[in-house]
Amino acid sequence: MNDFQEGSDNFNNSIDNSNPPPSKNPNTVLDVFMGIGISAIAYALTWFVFRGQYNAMITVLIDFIIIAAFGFLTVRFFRTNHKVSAIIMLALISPVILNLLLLGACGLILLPK
Amino acid sequence: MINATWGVRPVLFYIGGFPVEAYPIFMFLALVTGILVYVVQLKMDNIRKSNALYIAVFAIIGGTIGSKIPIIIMYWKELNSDPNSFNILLSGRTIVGGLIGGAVGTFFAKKIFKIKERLGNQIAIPVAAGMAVGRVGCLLRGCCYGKATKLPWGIDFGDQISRHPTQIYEIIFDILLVFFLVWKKTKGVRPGELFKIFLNCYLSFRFFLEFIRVEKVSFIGLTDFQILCVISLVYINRQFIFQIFNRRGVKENE
Repeated sequence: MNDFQEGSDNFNNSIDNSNPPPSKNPNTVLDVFMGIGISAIAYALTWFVFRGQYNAMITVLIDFIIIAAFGFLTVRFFRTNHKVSAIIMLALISPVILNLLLLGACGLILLPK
Repeated sequence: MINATWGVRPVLFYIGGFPVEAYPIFMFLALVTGILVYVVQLKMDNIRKSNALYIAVFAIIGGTIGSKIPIIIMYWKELNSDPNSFNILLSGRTIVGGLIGGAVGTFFAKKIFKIKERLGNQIAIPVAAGMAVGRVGCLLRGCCYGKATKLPWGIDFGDQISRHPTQIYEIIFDILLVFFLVWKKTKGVRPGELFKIFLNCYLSFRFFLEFIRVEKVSFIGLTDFQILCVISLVYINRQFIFQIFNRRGVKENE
């Protein structure tokens, strides 16, 4: 401890965590839970919207907004050192995107009446 | 309506009695082709992969949503009468809307995350290649078909009417477009210019193809897709159009 420092020696110890420095190594376990949690929230929101007695088109438009927001968050996590969360989110949203892209046909010929 | 017999070969094969449909298989192959060609393009041009990934995620999500929105607007009444919103979510998509949605998604990704790189030169060829593969799915499923014709290469999709195989026309065009874009790239293009060339070529082709496709005519004898093509073409070439008007203005003043 030099003359310019004040307080106890354990100032920089892990015991004093009132103002922790930003961690360069993200917590993987926390990232996994965050990725799964956000995906679960998105799926739950979609489920509630589908279960609600809204107009069919409103339901679809809300679903698009959820997907767009989810995509935004995924890229945001990739850029903010939460790669594990982002990869989990990307993996969990892929089936929805693939469903929207692959199933049916280009026109409305498959729309059941 | 669901019609198993409609199309050239809607079901590729059966696995334990479960039908494996041609359309999803070829759409998946189109996606894989697009991603593979995109990765090859990035490697060839030594582009940083992280930004390319962010743009690809936004482009795919934007393209997915964009491909549905024109269908939803066009068939608002018909779709609203359907009580099952999940059916609406899955039914119908258009490549014109997908391209516009993808471009809008990319635009937002670059604005939000302050990405300076222009990846239009790397995106154009994968999209064209993917579209060529995807149209095979349309041909086999029997969507995107043309009007009745007496030409010898007309195809009967299941209603005993020989029709223009507009899917084949588009596959041929897309393949030629891939070669043209590759040639243009080797000759040298400004950053992002190749996607502009691709959009100009495809939207112009699609505008004319619509005349022989079976689509709902909505305004002055044009289909909704034709109107969308015209609006997109004007927007893409807005600088060129302004230049022409400015030159005319200067000449008239002189």
